[in-house]
Amino acid sequence: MTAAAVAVRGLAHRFSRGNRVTAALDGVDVAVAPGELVSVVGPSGCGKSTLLKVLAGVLVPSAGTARIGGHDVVGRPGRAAYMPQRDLLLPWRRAMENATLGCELDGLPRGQARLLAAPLFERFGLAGFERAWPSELSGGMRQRLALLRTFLLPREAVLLDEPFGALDAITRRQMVDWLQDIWLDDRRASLFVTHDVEEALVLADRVVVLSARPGRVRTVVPVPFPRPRAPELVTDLGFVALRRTVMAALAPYATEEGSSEQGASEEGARGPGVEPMRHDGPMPHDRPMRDDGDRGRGSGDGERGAIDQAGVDRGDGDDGRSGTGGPRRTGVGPDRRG
Amino acid sequence: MARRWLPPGLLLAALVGAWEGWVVLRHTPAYVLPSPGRVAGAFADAAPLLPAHVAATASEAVAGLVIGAVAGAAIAVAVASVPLVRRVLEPLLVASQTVPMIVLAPLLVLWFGIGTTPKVVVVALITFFPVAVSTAAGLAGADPELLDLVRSMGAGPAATLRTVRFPAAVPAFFSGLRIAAAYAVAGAVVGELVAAEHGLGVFINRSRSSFRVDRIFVAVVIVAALSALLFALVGLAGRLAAPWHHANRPAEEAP
Repeated sequence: MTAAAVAVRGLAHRFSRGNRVTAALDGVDVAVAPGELVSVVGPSGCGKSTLLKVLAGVLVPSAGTARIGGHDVVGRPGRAAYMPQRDLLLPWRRAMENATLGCELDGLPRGQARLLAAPLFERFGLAGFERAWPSELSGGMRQRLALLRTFLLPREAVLLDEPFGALDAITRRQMVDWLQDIWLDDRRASLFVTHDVEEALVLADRVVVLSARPGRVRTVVPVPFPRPRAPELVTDLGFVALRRTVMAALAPYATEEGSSEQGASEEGARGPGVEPMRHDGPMPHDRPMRDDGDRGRGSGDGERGAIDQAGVDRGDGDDGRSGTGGPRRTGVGPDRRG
Repeated sequence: MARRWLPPGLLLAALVGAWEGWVVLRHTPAYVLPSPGRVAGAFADAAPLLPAHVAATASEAVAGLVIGAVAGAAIAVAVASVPLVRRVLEPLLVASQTVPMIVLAPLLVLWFGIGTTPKVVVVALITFFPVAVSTAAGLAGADPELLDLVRSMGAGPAATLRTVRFPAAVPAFFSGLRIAAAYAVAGAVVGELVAAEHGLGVFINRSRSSFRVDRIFVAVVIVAALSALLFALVGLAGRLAAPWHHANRPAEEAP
């Protein structure tokens, strides 16, 4: 097999605000195989966004390695198509210019970038809005434009940080189904961060469950349902069981996989949301020096680490589960501006 | 439109009316306080003299404003992108504003002569400061997450400035420039009052020495009108330069 498209090992990060030090992530390993979509769920403040920022190259972690396609991305942006939590459209660019931003930064001439983006406006439900200012678009449209911009970037991996967090529940549900379609056309290695368990399960091949701060990998749940997954899947008994598994792992008193009783009681005593690490004095950023030399592309298999694909069946054209509905290909986004 | 302009218009009309009434009832001599009617008469009477003076003052104000805007923006970029420059310049910039222009103007005339140059310099000195302060705030206030986003796409410092910081600072630049525009004409007149051949300042000086107080009022009204016009033009330019800022948004109130 090929190397993991995305590989994170031993990732730890501490923020310091004045004398206060907050541990966001503590020893997180995540791997995404090529063509795989992995969801990361966890309570607020567990460092999900930090994980993506590290992979996007815009945040240097306290410790650990992050690789995309075998390349070290710590402090080296430009390897992943990253969509931050808010839609973050540039208000001074019209929809089309927002979509082509990344291509322009890649040095692609404007005209050429537009040719690439134009057909996607139809697919992303934004046809006719190419010249609109972001402030003239609805929330769902803004999110789709941000997704369009992300998917348009020719990068090995896609990182989505709670792309639907700001949307209402109904729009959100539609967007999840729609995103699945988009992703099935694209099939890039993707990390999808969310705090919505259902969303995570519907979209992902595997769900990585993080604990409350500091974020550690509690468990990794494979999601075996074939694609495309119909909206009705969420009522399927197997799905409900998986959902229960993930929710149990998310519960504040749940133990980490294989961790001791003591670890659990510690967690319990602190409760979620409490800052567990507090140091006085300055916090050393103890990230080891980069060691590109001894870990090249060749050893990629080893980097998959503890949470390799757990035998997930991702048959492409396999829609044998007729009970959950056939493939839908609406092609156009669910909501229009009212 | 009517709703917006009616209340201040009514107040202005009331004030002018009170002024007229005061002068008529108290028999105030015209060399102390001319009535508005008399000022209007002086306007017609001085009309042939005015265009040359107005043109001189307006061109000084605009030239000074342009130079001040460019200098202010350049200082803002330097302050926002180089921390050392910020530490060195910021206190000096603030200190520079404590020097009264009325004191500086005679020196500038001494150095640059009685031509246009000292007036343009006065205007530039007055106008660069609000532009620099406002633009620097705009550059520094760019959304850090937007900066992260373009950096994640592989943008270096120059591309970050071009795609995020500059456009984000455009509205701030124009709000600084609007404040600057309001002072520009008055700055030019201050320079002309010291020494000049043309300009509303010269017109004021001559009117004063011939006790034509009504003509001084004519000049004051013109200075106010020019300032308002420049202010409005800068506002319009701001709208054209940052159309997104005003799309789907109620019109902003003047500061």
